[in-house]
Amino acid sequence: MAKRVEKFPQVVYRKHTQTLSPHPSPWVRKPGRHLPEFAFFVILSFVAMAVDVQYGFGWLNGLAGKLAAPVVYSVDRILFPLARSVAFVRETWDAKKENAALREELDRARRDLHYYESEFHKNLRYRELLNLKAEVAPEAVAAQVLRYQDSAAQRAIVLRAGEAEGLEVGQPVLGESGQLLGRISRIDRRFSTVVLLTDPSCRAGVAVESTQAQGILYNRNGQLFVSVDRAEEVREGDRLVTSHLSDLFPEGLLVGRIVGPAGDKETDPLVAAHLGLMKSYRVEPVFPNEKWGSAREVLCLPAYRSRPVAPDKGS
Amino acid sequence: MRLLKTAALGVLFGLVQGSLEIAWSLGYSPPDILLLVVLWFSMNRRASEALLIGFLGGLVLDSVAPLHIVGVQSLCKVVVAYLPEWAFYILLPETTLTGFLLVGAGTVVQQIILLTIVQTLKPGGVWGGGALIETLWLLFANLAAWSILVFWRFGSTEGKETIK
Repeated sequence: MAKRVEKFPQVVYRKHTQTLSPHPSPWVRKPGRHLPEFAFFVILSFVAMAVDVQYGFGWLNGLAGKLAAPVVYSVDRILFPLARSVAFVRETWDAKKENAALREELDRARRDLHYYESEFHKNLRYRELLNLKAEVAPEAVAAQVLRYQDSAAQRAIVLRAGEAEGLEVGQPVLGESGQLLGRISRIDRRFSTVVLLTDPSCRAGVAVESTQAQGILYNRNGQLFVSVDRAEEVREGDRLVTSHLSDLFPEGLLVGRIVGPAGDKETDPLVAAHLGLMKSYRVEPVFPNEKWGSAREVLCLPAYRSRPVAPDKGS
Repeated sequence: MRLLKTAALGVLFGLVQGSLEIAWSLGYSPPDILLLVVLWFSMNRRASEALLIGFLGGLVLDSVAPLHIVGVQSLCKVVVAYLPEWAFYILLPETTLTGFLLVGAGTVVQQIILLTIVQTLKPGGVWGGGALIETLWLLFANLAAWSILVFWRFGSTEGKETIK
């Protein structure tokens, strides 16, 4: 018999003392003992609902409201500091999330700003090129720079345009501010190479714009110089343009400004002996030399063909 | 006299619960103290006392709290007050879990009754995600309050006798 009892779940009954409960536990009462009371209160509740829906309990609401007022006030006084603390924590949490969202938005705005600034500058460059194109030659072709090569042996830029775009060897190439950069020396189907004025191989006939004093543009270590007749008056700040005597470039393209006399070791390397007839000056490009590498677009002028030499009538 | 004391207790807890519902500013809804009291009385005292407390407390609560239909909470609390008696029919043993089970069941049953009647008597949709979240929150709040208020009474088997 004992074994049979052990098969059932162990049921724990409360030991009721007088201080806790003077009545026997509900677990050991007979079932359904309070069913009539339950039914009575349920019916009463339904009656109350019916009366409230039909007639309302205005007087009861008023009375309960008056009775509850001090309790509500007390509860409010107790809960208010707690509610403020909870609200503070919640607001802090919300602020943290909002802060994270704002940071993300700020990053996005910065990226957008960077993009728009980049587009703005690109737009400016295009506008400048378009204006320049209209001024210099309507048939000029704008080309994107693919690569800037700056080595002691060669200074050149590669353009993302070639024969397919109508380019040809010998076209002068201008950068921002109408600065002459060089000329196309090699052409492919889709690409072309521009030898820059700073390339060791590059020399050009130039003239001082104000006095039309003729000179020869040369470079040393990427720095531009001009060699002019000693008798010519050359002032600092004078603009230097391509000469009408040049066989490579059309007349009047801006090369740079005179910034001062050259040093003793900055003379033209191709002149074997300096007899004191020529004087060298340092030239600074209008579009700074160090920015040539950052040029994104250039303008290719039509190929320059020097005028044919008139045949000697005597020959 | 005992009846009067019980009735006064019901009115008092109805006032407290109604005030809590008015002044509660910690988000969602307050724990149902009246429900816990009713359950406690039903499990530890006479069910008739719990029924009276539930009915009167619910009546006062409906009167104090705004937009309540008088009698709805009475019905809810009366049903909840009788839950332990029903639990007796299914031979639910009295363990630590019993109180929590009854509180959970009472909360859910009360919400179902409340929402059903409100849906019936008032225009507008009551059921939905909002009702579900409210019920879940109330469940959590009631269980938490039950743990805090009366857990000690079930936590220890000391003072209990075992029938073998």
